[in-house]
Amino acid sequence: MTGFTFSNASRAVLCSLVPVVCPPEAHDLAAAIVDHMALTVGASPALLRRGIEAGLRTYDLGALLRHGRRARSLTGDAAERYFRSWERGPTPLHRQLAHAINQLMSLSCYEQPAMMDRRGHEEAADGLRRRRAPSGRADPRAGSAPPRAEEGARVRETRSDLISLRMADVRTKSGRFVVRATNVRDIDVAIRGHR
Amino acid sequence: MAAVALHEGQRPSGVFTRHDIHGDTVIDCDVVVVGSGAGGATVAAELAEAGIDTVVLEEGSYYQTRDFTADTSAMVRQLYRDGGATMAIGNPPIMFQEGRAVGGSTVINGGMSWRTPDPIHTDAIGNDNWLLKKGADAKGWKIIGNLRNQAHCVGSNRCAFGCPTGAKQSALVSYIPRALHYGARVYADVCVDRISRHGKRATGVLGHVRHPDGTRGPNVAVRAKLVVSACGAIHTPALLERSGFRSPSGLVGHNLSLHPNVKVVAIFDEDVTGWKGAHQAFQVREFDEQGLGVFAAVNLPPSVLAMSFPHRGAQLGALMQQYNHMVTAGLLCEDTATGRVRTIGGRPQAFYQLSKHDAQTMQRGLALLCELLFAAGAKRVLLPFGHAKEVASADEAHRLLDRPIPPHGWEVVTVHMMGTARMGGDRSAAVTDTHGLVHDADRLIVADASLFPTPIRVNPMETIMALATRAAAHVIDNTRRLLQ
Repeated sequence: MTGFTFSNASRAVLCSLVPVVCPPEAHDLAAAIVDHMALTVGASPALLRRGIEAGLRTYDLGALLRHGRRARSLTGDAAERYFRSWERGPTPLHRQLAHAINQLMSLSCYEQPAMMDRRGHEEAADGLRRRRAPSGRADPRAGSAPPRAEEGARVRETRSDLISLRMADVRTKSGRFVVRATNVRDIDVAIRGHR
Repeated sequence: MAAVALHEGQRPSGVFTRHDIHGDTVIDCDVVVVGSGAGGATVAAELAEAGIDTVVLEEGSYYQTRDFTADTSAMVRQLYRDGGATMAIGNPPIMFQEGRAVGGSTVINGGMSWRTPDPIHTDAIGNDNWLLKKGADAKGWKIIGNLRNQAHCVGSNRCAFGCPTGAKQSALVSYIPRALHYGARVYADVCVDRISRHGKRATGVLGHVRHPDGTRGPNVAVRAKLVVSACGAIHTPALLERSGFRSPSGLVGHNLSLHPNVKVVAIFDEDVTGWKGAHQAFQVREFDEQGLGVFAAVNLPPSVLAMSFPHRGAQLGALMQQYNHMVTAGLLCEDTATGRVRTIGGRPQAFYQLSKHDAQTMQRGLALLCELLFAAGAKRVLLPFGHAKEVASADEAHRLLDRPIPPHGWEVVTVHMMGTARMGGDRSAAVTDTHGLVHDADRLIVADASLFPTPIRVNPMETIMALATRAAAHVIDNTRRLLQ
């Protein structure tokens, strides 16, 4: 994750928008919703992140013209009217910012545990976790044999035209090197540093 | 909220990550495969099994089944490229999703697989899919059981966010372990910048370690006798262009098909609880000759569904109260338009303009889908337009959908990107030959959905795997020419 956080100004704007975008039962969760939005925005491309930050600053300042106050200070009907004016805004940029805020905030709102009233969904998910299968099979054609990681370096068949010494200078955490060598006896030797 | 929901625990031998690469690194191998999804993992497994020293490079991280949880947005952030926020520019813009993890998009797809003969157990079919079948049966339309690559699906309906039980046989739990078993090495967190070359011969790749915050780590160079590009229809053409491989056809990046998808949300009186049950147990195939490949029911988690509604405030709350009474159904259009992937500043950007013909096809499909849902007992249906038109009967849907809908009003998504390095024998009309070898280049193979000459009307994973297997067989049969 990027560790992205909104600027204080953007965060204040977003917190003020929670009562506008989210259902009433989520209004107490404003801080958690905005934290979650930061995670989502942080995973998106840098250009989009910058666009959203710039858009939020413009949104904040734009309210000075209409309401004589910054958007972060608007409450109730004034906040609702101002957001609606962006939803129906004169340019696609106005509309897209309002749309993006609505989408991101709705996503983050319904990701809050308190909002995930899914009638047993969480319990079902917990049940599933207890029934997990092994991570994988060594060979899809070989039934359900578990992966044999310890044999991971063994090459079943080696042709003479592929024989070569191969070295991968990949240092492991312990500072050793992984060295792979294949000899004429179809033996693949892996000397691996302790990981 | 934890910033990192997934953890990268103990890894099998042969899997390396950013934690193992502390400085600029050179790796030698016979074949380097860029990408570890349906194409890359398949090629790697086949080649490794044949004794060929294979290295797989994957930009995403390595996660295991135990890492996949019910935390939807954390899964999206970690398993999807750009947190799922990738878009083809056009009117309407089309959102598309690609996986970015070891296993590629097979980790996050629905698991639809048309050569797998293992049917879904009836117990694992959810109510939303039974309602789809009820509607199709009422209309007398052809509906078939979906074929999915699952081993023991219990119906958790989490396919698109990493299967939490390991039942979905993504490349992560099938081809990757097989490749590792036969000696392949997989390097996660390595982003490939370009293919190195000597004249027209590909000689390896140059890349770098990618840290979770997107910053650049040590350089990684792989010297190989053969390069396989399997990083998908968006990134393969960009990789070819960045590396200076230009097809004589001039078609690298052209011919992008998307299988545009639209969805509706139907609200029933009865409890549907769509999150219980296998993802897409059925597909309606009545209209596949008319460009409407598939109708299917696809449950979405509450947060993702809430995000897709234009409603907000109390209105959104009231709508979401009915979450367990909703069936989300979608259709896939076999598109006739094509778009293009351009490389801008080294990064791919897709451009795609939905054609009037395809928009009309989807409108007709939506009217039919509404018919089906009302025949199954739906009380109202929300349509996929910005203003979320709601209809209360099939007749109303037909009346609404008989009128033209402006392109900007559509909400279109896709997960099937195809055709940007199309295969064909004619080097003036194709980028690769019929085995995926790039025309006018040496020792460079494409093995992903870029190869498709046309959209294929069904979920493409199995076809990608088939083409990758064929490419691998060609390499194995021609080691003298391709690997010496």
